[in-house]
Amino acid sequence: MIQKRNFFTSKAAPLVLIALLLVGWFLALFIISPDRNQGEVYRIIYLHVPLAFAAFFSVLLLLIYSVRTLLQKDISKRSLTLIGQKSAVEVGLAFTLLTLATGSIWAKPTWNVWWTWDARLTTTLLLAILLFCYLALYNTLNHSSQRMLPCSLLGIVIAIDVPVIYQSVNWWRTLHQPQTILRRGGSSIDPQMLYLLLFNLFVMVAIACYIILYRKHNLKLLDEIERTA
Amino acid sequence: MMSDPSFYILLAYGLTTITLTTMVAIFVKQRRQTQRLLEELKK
Repeated sequence: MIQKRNFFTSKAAPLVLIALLLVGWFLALFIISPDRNQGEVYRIIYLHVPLAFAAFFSVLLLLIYSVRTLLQKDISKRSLTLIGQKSAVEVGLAFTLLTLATGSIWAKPTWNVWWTWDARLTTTLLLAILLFCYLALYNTLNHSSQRMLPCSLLGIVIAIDVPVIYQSVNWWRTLHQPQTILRRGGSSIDPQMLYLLLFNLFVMVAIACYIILYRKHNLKLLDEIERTA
Repeated sequence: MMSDPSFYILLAYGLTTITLTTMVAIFVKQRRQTQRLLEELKK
C-alpha cells in the first residue's frame, strides 16, 4: 500500500519531533524563570496544557473522520475513515489520561488534593470514559459495516464534550484556573512563558498527529490483510 | 519528599515519557508484525 508523502510519513519526522520535544522540555525545566506565585512546580504547565491540546486535537480528528464516514458513499473509503476514527480515539484516550494524570500531579502541591470533582476535571474524565466506551463499542461490533453508524454518531457526541471542557471554567464556579491563552482582552500570561508554551503545544500536537497517522497506516494494512485472507 | 516541587515535576514528566514511549513501542511492534505478515502472504 502506498502512503501519501508528507512530513509525517517521512523517516526524519520522528527524529525531528523528538528533538523538538527535548528542546522544549529543556527550556521549560532549566532555562525559563520560575513563576512568581507558584514557584518551580508551575513548570508542569509546559507538559499539562500541550497534552490537553493534543487530546483535543485527536478528538477534532475523530469528529472530521466521523462526519466523513457518515457523508461518504463509497464503502471502501468509509472503512478507511472508520480506521481513522479508531486511531484518533486510541491516541486521544492516551493523551486524555495523561492530561488527567499530570493535572492531578500538579493539583497536589497547588490545591493540596490529588483530585476534586471540579467542572474542568469532571468533564475531562467524562471525555476519557466516552473514548473508552467508543473503543468498547468498536470492538464489540464485528464488521465495519456494523460499526459505521454507531461509532460515527458516538464520535460526534464525544466531540461535543471538548467545547464543554474548554468553557467549563467560564460556565461553572471552579477551582481550576480560568483561560489564560485564548481569552478576551489577550493572553494573561507573560510573553516569554507564552511563546515557550505555544512551542511545546505545537510540538505535542504534531506528535499526536504523527502517532495517529502511523497507527492509521498500520490499521489500514491489517484491514487489507483481513480482506485478502 | 512530598513538599519538594522537583518530585512532582519529575513525576509528571517521567510518567508522560514512559507512557508515550510504551504506546509508540507497542505501535511499532504491531507495525513490524503486520509487515511480516504481509510479506508472508505475498510469498
